Amino acid sequence: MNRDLERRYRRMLAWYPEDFRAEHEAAMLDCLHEASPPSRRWPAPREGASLLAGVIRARGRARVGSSSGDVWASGLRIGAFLALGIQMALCVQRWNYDWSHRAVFLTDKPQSQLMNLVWTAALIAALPLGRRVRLAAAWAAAVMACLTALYSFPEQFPSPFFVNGVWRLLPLVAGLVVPAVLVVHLRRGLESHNRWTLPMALVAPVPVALGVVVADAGTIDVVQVIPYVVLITIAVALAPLDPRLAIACTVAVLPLALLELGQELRSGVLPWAYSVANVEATEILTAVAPFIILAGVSFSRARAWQRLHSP
Amino acid sequence: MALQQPAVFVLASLLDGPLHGYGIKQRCEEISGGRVRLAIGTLYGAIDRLGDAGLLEFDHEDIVEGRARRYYRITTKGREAVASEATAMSQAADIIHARLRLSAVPGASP
Repeated sequence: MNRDLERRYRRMLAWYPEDFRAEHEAAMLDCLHEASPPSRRWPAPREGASLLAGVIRARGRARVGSSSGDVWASGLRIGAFLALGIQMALCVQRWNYDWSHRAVFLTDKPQSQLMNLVWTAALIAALPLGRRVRLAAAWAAAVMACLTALYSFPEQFPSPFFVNGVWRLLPLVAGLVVPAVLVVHLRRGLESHNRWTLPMALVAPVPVALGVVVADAGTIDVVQVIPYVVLITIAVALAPLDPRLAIACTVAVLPLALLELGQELRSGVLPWAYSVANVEATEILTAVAPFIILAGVSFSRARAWQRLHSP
Repeated sequence: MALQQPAVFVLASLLDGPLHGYGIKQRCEEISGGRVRLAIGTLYGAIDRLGDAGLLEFDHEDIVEGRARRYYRITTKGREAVASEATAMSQAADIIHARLRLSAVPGASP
């Protein structure tokens, strides 16, 4: 196996949990070395897919005796992957919507949708890298999220092409700020996270939410945003207990999306929930579908794991 | 405790003695007639789970061309598990063969 291929495989193996790597990384590299022809420079697609699936399986399993740091790190990575999924779902959904109107990918700012995808992917790519890179990626993500608040002032603040000016994406953006803050503190799987980690993660969605409220005062009020902020805060507080609960950092939109739909169906029975057009509620539900599926897979894996351990 | 197919073949490959990762992969292909081709991620996922469940364990480590090569061996509990799984598979096969014989008889209900 040449050095380029080894380096690429090492990057993929860096996504496995610390304890898994400590036990298997060297042996896996040896195995990959034996399985690769000398001329190969890039990972075989089948092996690459298998390694990525292995990462998700390894991180989705509730490890007996895991430290809280491992749990944090696993939750963060799962949440980041899911955030990428939701961004991709939004892109696909937008494409379909516009296709039905015979206009391919014609949104007011199609490139901003793609940029959301790009910076989510960049955040994920930064996770296994050095602390400085993570810090830079997290700050870039946080700044990008806060810039969404400015789109409503096109005269004073003409929003750049990479800012997504769709306010209903607020929970997604806020959900990404939470992982971004955690990324800053990720050090050896957050085993040494300090006393500021949780408070910072808890308050991260607040400025984003308030910024959008201020910027869009004509159509959104604080009451509409409070449930999102509260849900995300609860999700972050629960994250250390179980990695699957950390999924809620980016899935916080789900209960509110359901409320949103209920609000539509019951004609304003819940005045404190969102009041948006049906099509928007449907869009959000479409976007969270990958979350539901992946959360279901995660739970079923965890149950299978428990069965495997039962005497 | 139900084992998935890759796990069953990983355990079966170790019945003849300790093997390292690539050895297990090759042995699985050999004993399955090429039907089970394990990717490395799948293989080590199975090894990790089976190790945690006490069905296989670390045997020894060699250094080959500067690389660590870990050998694994099946445990007593692993032998029992793979034997139990083989019995269950055999019983399932018997049931299906019986059904096939029945359905092949003219006039028999499908």
